[in-house]
Amino acid sequence: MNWIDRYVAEIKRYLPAKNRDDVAEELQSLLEEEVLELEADRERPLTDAEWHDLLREFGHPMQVATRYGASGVLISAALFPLYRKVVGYLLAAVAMVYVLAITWSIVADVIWGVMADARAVNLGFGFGEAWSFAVNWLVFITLGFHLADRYVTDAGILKRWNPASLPPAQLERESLSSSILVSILVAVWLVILHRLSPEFSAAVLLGEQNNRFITLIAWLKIQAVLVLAVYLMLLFKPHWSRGKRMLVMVSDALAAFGIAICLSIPAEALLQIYPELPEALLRTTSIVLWLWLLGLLADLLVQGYRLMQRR
Amino acid sequence: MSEDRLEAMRLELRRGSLALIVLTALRQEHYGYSLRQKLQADGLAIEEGTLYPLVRRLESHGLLDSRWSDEQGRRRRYYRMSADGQKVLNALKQEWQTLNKVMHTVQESSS
Repeated sequence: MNWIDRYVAEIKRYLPAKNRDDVAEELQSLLEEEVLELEADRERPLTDAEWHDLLREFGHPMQVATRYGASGVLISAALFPLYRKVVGYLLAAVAMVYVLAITWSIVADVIWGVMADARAVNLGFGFGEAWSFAVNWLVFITLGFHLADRYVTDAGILKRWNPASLPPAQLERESLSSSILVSILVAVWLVILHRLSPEFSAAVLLGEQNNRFITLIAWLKIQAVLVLAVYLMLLFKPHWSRGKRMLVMVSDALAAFGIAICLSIPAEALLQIYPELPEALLRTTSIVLWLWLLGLLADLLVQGYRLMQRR
Repeated sequence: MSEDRLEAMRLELRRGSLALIVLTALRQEHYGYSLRQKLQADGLAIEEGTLYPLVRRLESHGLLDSRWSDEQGRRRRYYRMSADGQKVLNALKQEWQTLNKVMHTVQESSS
């Protein structure tokens, strides 16, 4: 019975602990029964080749264990389409950001003559980092889905869905490619802003440091985070709902408020921090900020008008 | 249609019916090997790797009762349909008959 022992021992390796011994004992007895029957028919012991045929017909140990309930589901069929979508976006985003970073580093190399690789690494998008970022997030996403899966299954969320939550068909749709592109651009913008000035506090936001530059960046970061959130939502629900429009308006309003704070800081204060700043550039900052503010306010008016019309 | 696809559909069709057949057969007590012999004698050739796990699954769902026995010097696990199994069998049979009826009706109405 050496072959049966070896076969059953191998199956046991894949069986869940709770019924491992019980299933193994039963399999052992069933296989012995089969072999006895075959040997009685042939009136001789089975040859090694016949043993192999018998076990091959019974199935690979891993397959047999799976049939006995050793298989688990990492992500159920119900959530898998969403999981595949999220993983697809993640990989596409990482690949695109990497390509953008490389392109940017080449452009930087041509324009400023700095080392292309150094630029890419400075931005935090070297290949190794991009790869580990993708793998780390793949793990987090998979674990998240695995945990959510149990919750969704146990709570019967998909059975209790409300058809009233379906978005109206006439809602403006955002194409997938533009959502991905904008999300990536905004994410890169956010990283660049953070690299330019990592400072972020109430004092910075309120301009108490008398530095237009870092106050502006802090407010732009808030705007970028909100816009990024909207476009990430659009990846999953590609309709411009009232809530998403409002969120974009809030982000614009916050940026406008931030620019207003910047304008309240005297431009000359920048000279104390950056003495080498040319005076022409100093004057330009105020003009740019005013134009920016007016642009944002005009955009807010247009968006508000559109929102009122869609009610 | 490829052979693989046909085989997958055939297996899918058989999967549900097998549980019904096994439950019916286990109105009498059997151990795994004797059940396979009985089904074979009744015209259903079924692989061990399919039948034995199916029996275990039905048992874990409470549709079969089981006991170990050392009769005739051999250790065997015997299975028999439980009271819950009987209820499920009745419901499945009814479903099976409905499906059969629908199949005939659809076939006749579309020929």
